[in-house]
Amino acid sequence: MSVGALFLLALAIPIARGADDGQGADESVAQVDSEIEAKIEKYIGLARTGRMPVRPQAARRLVKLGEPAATRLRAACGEQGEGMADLGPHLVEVLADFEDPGLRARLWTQLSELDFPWRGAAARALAGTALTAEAPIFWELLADQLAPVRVAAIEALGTVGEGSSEEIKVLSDRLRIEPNDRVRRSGVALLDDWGQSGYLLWLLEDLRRTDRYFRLPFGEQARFLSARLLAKRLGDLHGYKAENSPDDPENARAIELISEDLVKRADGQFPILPPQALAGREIDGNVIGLELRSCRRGEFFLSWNRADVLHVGTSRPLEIPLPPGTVAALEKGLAECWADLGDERYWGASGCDIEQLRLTGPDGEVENFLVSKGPAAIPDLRPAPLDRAVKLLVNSIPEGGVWQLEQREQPRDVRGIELRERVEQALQSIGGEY
Amino acid sequence: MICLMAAAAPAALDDALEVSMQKLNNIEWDPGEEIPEEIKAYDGQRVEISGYMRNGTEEGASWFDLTDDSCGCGTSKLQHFVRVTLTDGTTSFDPGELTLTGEFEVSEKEDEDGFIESLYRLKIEKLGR
Repeated sequence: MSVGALFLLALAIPIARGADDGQGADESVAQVDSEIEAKIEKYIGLARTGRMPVRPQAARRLVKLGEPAATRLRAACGEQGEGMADLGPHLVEVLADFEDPGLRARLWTQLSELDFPWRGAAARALAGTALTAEAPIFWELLADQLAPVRVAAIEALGTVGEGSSEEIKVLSDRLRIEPNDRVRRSGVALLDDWGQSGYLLWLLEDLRRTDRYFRLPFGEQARFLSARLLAKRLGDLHGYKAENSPDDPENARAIELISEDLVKRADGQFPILPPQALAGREIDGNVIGLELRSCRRGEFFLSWNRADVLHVGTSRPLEIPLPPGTVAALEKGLAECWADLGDERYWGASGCDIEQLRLTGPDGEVENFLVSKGPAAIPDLRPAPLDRAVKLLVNSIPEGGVWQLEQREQPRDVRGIELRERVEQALQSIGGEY
Repeated sequence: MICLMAAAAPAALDDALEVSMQKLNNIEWDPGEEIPEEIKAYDGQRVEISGYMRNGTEEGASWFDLTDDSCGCGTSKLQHFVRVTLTDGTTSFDPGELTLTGEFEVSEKEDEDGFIESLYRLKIEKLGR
C-alpha cells in the first residue's frame, strides 16, 4: 500500500488503531483498504456511465480519495494513456487534479493524438492546472481544430500568459479569424483582463443576437453568456434581461447605456469587429439543415436557404451563393430519401458524435433525423436513405472555382475554407462512408 | 414541435408560466450555494418549458433529462438538466423539440449516495403527440 493510502487510512480509523496495535489493527486496515477500493470502483463506474448530472460529481469524489484513486487511474490509462479513451470525458477532465506527473504526461500524449475522442476534456484538465513551462504549447493550441481545446488554451493562458504587447497581438489576431463564439467570448475576457477593454465590444454585439439554428436558440444562449461576462466586469447592466428580445425597448435602452459604459472603460479605443462576430438575426427561408458534432473533427452548422444560399455557422453565418434552383432540387431529392425512411427518426446510441438532418416542412414544422454514437465506430450506422441524403447535400457545397476566389477576398472568415472536405471528414468520422 | 402536457392537471394550458431553458441553464450556481431568487420563484409553479430529450434517453423509462438541445454536449452542470418524470407513461426517444407543461420543482435533490441528482424537476403525465 502506498504512503498516501496509509495516510488516508490513518484519518479514517483512529479509534480502531488505538484499540489494538496488533492483528486487529491489520484487519481493520485491510477492511478500510477494501472499502476505499470499492469506493474507487464505484465512482469510476458512476463517472463513466452513471446518470449524466452525477458523472462529474463522482469524478470529483475520486480526486478527494487521492493516491489510491490516482494509482487505479494510472493503471487504467496504461503506459502511454492508450486506455484513457475508455475512461470517458468526466474522468479525463479530473486527471490533472491528482497532481501526478505520470497522469499529466499521459494527458499531454493523448491531447496530441487527433483521434483521441476526449481532447476537449484533456485540454480542460491541463488548462486548469497549467504550468508556466507549458505556455508555448497552449499558444499553439489556439489554432486547434476543436473549439473546446481552443477555449481551454485561452483559460490556461490566463494563468501562464504574461499579457505582454506581443501576446496581446497574437491573441487578438487569432480572435479576428475565430469562427466560434464560445472561443471569442473566452478570448475577449482574457484580453480585458490584460487591459484591452475595447474587445468587450464583441460581447455587446452578442447582447443583440436573435439568431436561431432552426429551433435552437443560439442567439438567446449567447445573450445569456455574454451578459454574465459583462456583468462581472461592468457590474450594472442597466436592467438588461437576456431572456427578452434585444428589440424590447428596455433592453434596447440598456444596450445603449452599456455601450456608453464600454466607451468610458476602453477610453474610446475599439477594435474593428470581424464579420463573424457581428450580431446575427433570425433568417427566414432556411429549409434544410445539417448539424455535425464530431468529437474528433469539430462542429458544423450548415443550412440551405430557399434563396439558393448555403449558410455556414451560427450568429451571422457565412453566406455561400449556390446556383439557381439548387435548393429546390435538394428538397425534391431529399423528399425521396425521407420517404424510404418510414417512421424511424433516430439511429445509433448516445455519444459525442452526432449528425442531425433537419427539414422545414410547408407548415413551418421542423422534422429531425438523428444519427449518433460514442467514440467507437459503428459499421453501417447511417441508414442507406440518409447516406443518399448527405451525399446530395455534400455535393451541393461548392468546391474550388469562383467560391475560393471570393474567399481570398474575405480572408478573415475561415468558415468556408476547405468546407466541403472538412464536412466530408466529419461525416465519415460519425456515420461512416456514404 | 411536439406539445405535451400534464392532462390531469386542472389548470388550463395558458395558465402555465413560460420558462426559458436558457434562463434555467445560465444561473451562477454551484451545489450547496443559494439558488437565485428569481429561479426559486418557479418552485411549485405550473410551467411550460421547451427543450430536447437528452441524447441517450432510455426507451420505456418513467423519466428523462430535458436539455437545451438534443446533443446535450458539454452539459455537465446540474442546472443544464430538467429531470422530467412521467406519472402515467414511458419514454420513447424523439430528437425533435418538446414543449412540456407540468408542475415544476426547484431544489437540490440527492440520491442514495449523496450525489445531487437534480436541481430542476418537472412532473408531467405522459408523452404524446
